[in-house]
Amino acid sequence: MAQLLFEKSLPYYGPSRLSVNNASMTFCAMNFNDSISFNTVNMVFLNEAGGNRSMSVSLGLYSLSGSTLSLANSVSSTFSQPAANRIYISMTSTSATQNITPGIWYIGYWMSRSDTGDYAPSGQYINLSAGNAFPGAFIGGAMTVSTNALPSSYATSDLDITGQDALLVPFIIMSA
Amino acid sequence: MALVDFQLLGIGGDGVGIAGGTSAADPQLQFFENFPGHLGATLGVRSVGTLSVHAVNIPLSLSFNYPVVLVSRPNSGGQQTVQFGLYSLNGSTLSLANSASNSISFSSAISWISMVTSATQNISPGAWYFALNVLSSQTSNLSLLINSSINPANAVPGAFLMGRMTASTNAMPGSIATSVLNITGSGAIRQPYIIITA
Repeated sequence: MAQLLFEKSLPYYGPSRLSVNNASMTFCAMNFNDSISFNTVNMVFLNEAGGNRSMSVSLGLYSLSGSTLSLANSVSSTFSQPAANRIYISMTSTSATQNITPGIWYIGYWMSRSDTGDYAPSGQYINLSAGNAFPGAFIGGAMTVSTNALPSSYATSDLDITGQDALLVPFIIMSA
Repeated sequence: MALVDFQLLGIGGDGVGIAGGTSAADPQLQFFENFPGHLGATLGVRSVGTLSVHAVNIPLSLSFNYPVVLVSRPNSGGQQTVQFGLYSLNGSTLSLANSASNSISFSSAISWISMVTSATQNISPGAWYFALNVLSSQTSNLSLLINSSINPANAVPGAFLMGRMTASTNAMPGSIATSVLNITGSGAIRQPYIIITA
């Protein structure tokens, strides 16, 4: 089995700022075609505010068994950004060394900011405001409650899987 | 370990890897999207009875249970049917391996539609071809989340990648000769977002 040098959540990053829920979590899927070392996680943030903004970000790497997401690893960072700018942020302090095996993993991303939402990651940009819940197996969803830490496990049945904010996919690059 | 090969996974497989690691049992995908991350360009009107087909590279095994598309329904009357076909390509002939369909009579403007398969199947890794067709009891058509609306002036070059039938159909054909498919212009490259979940 090959060893990847990088993997991305999207083929490219969309121009839009995602409407990420503050102090809560959203789960999205990443398909790893081969193994990769969990070393560095990069994202693109867009600041459309009139001044500097700061953000605390935590990403959890979750596996799915049945209807339970289980935390396997995590990474976090706090950073600031000037107005009207896109920047890459890089997180390298993983909670443990890990070789991610091929297949689908779930990224739970938690973000806490002080502004009203004009500062968020770039990502999937098409409006998917479907009126019904996503049918079939679980592909992602948003927590409906606030949290201040990555949960060690979470039931997918407790996640919102309806509407645009439930199925957001930020642009995430994992590099070995 | 010595570098014994270099692998580019290309469009749809975003990673670049170095082959030569140890082998493990092939894992099973929980779902597969033709546009990773639900990417799409717009909601585009789908012509009734015009079957389109496009290639996908499925990286790992996948249970063929629930093909899902995102649709916008023009009104609350009548009924529309979405048909999905899973084809393999041998030479210049597409052969139907599996299919699914569902009929729609809801009133929501934008909705996920899950189709019901005709038979269970474990899709093996490799190149497969997704076909989609829409039927309607009215002249108003469904719009689907699609990849692109650009309109190249020439045919898609190289091996068969995607195209659409020029004759109307109300069912997934058992086989399709790629030579009868139109591979020029926006209609040929305009493909719907499709996700198959286990």
